[in-house]
Amino acid sequence: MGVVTASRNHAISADRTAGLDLVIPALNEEARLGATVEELHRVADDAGLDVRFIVVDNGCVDSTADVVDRSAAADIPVELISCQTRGKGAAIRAGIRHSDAAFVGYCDADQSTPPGALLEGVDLLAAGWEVVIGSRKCAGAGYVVRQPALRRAGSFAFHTAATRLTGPVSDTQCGFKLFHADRARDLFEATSLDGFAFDVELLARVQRAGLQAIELPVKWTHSDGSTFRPLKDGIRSFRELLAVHRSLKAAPAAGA
Amino acid sequence: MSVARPQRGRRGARSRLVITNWRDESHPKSGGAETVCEELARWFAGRGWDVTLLTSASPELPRVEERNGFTVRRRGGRYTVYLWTFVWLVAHRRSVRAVIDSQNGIPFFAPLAVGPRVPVVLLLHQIHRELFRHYFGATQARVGQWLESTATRAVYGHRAVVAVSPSTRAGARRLIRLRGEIFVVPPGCHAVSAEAPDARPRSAAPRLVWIGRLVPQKRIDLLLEAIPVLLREFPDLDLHLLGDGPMRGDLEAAVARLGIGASVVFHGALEPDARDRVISSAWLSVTASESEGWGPGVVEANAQGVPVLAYRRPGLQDAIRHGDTGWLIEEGTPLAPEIAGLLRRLEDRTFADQIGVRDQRWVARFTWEEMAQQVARIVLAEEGRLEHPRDERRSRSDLSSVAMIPFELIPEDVALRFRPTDRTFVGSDGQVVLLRGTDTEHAPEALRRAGLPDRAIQDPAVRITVARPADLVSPDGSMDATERPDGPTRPGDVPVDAADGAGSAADGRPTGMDRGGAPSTGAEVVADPSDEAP
Repeated sequence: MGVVTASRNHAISADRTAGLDLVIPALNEEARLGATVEELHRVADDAGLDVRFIVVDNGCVDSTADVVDRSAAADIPVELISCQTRGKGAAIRAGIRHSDAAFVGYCDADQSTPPGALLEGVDLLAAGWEVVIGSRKCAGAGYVVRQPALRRAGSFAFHTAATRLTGPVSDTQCGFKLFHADRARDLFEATSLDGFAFDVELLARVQRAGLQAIELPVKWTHSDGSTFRPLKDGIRSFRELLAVHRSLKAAPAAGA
Repeated sequence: MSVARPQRGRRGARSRLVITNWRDESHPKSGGAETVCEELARWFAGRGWDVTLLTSASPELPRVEERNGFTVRRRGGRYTVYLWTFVWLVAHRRSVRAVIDSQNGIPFFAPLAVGPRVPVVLLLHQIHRELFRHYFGATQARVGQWLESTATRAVYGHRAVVAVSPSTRAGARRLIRLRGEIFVVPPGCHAVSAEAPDARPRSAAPRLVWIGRLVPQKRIDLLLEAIPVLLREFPDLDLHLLGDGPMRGDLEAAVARLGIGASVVFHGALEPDARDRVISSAWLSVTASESEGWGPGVVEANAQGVPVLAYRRPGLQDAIRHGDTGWLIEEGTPLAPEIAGLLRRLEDRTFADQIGVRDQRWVARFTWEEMAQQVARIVLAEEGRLEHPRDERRSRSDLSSVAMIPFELIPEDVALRFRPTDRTFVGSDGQVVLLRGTDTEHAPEALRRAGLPDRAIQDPAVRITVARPADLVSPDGSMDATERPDGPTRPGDVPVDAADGAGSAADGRPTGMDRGGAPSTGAEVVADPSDEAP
């Protein structure tokens, strides 16, 4: 798969009425979720894009659910479901299973996805791309806040290993991805990882299925609320990559 | 077997249920946590358990006392009570069947004393963390925080935890980072006033009450400072302070300094009847407390049909339903304008009585019977867990789901059997079930296991939602529903006790649920492990 990068001057005039179900996995996000949903909804609504948010409670003990209720009370189309299996991958899978729009996708709860990227991504789907991969690293993207050095070194090593599985993707771990629902649903069901390397497994399956994928540059903020611990989680990410490798060998994607 | 009755197997010597708490209810400084322990001790003793309450000594109280069917043993002071309790537990560990271990700041570390095979349920009254600084210097506060978090986490491991409110649970996970399963079980309420709100003798002039111990974290000074402002609009307003504590001298000085002595009454700690008489004469109860476990003051006011104004703080945000049973304001909001606004609205007696009716309905949901039954189930579930160890890494999720099943979808001949730790209620439209540790995707499966037929599960009228924090307290949010199938607003509970029916709440249950039988999925919970011991 040669993943293409979307450039800003792509002339796209797309139909945005198809509707998007956007899955947001949430673990104790009372502080950040409300603003994220509000901002994405405001921008989408102004652009005439029909977005339903599916917040997946992944074991919150705080008042994340109340935040969702407040957004719903403000007429934002948002639904709350839950997923008892811990991990971002498991939560996203549950959200995608719950979705029924023509376009589906997921993003983080922490406002790290700029709302503009959401519109551009949907335009690309409408223009025929089957998968839109948010990227903080491809040409045109960049970190608004630069990440710490240790984190960058770890990222580089992880990326090198991950792209052996996924093919040439500049950023596997960006939390923002969009899909044509009819092409993606089976891929999501085929994934088996619950945690951090879920993104890698999903992209590897996208590649094997030969879907038309495009990278979308996004400006990114490294937010302080991140729960990633460089050493402990770093080691775990590499172990998970091995698990992706095994999972792909065990169950080759249908239609690959 | 009965959920509530201990059985004596081959390890028959293990008969004691020990409840630890650093004070007991007779202690001059007792508060809400002491009432919880006392009520639990009384309930378990009433069900035939051999109950010992271990607590600290007080000069005017006997060392050992038999009371309400259980034994109180008092030894040690504020700090040494931890040592003495530990020593007693070690000395008597062979006779201890289970421990309900109170953590009101610092726990008693009972698992170290009784060993890994004896169930210990950590009863978490309140997260102290920030409160230690009110009592100690910086170093001591840090030691306290270390004992509350790091040490507790290490000693209690995957032991079950009972938290009195969703806020306490959040603190247990996020601040103390406990690993065991956490059950939210709100404390009971003594007695809702028999008097309807419109019959209560409310004072003609605006009256405020303040309920609680006079300690720094309650921030009574914020309320006192609001009084001079309020007196300008309501010259005949008065404030009654119910409770005693170390701050009393300071507060009396503050009252003198503010020149509001004629409008403020210090009652000290009154007997319940006298206290309730004062409360029922009030228009509004106000608290400025920075944190509560659950807020017994809220419950006491609501029981008399008096609403409470509080800051949106841990515990209080769980005990008050904003705009429904009382009012919550954001931290930092000045009290005087808020109180003035509410007094103007409460002047209308009809409005006040509507709120009052909801207040009484709200607290009537919380009974000691209900709390104790839940704790009993958790103790037995913990016994089962230790007897049949599972993979500890797969501890259950903090998620719960709420399922609402319309009555007409529950077949007459089906008895729904949920897990003992699930909770069922009679809602206004149907049976409401809190499915603990179950997500929305697995909830239909849980209903199927409980015995609900597939056609009912697939019916769109069955609503399954993610449990909100308020649902953990009471999954039925409809305070205004007056028409219930069986009249009483008290939610019934699915009986887990087929043998003698003692554990069942017979009232308020529709016919479809009105059947006993041991829960099918909870076999490991109700089986007495002592029978299976090698």
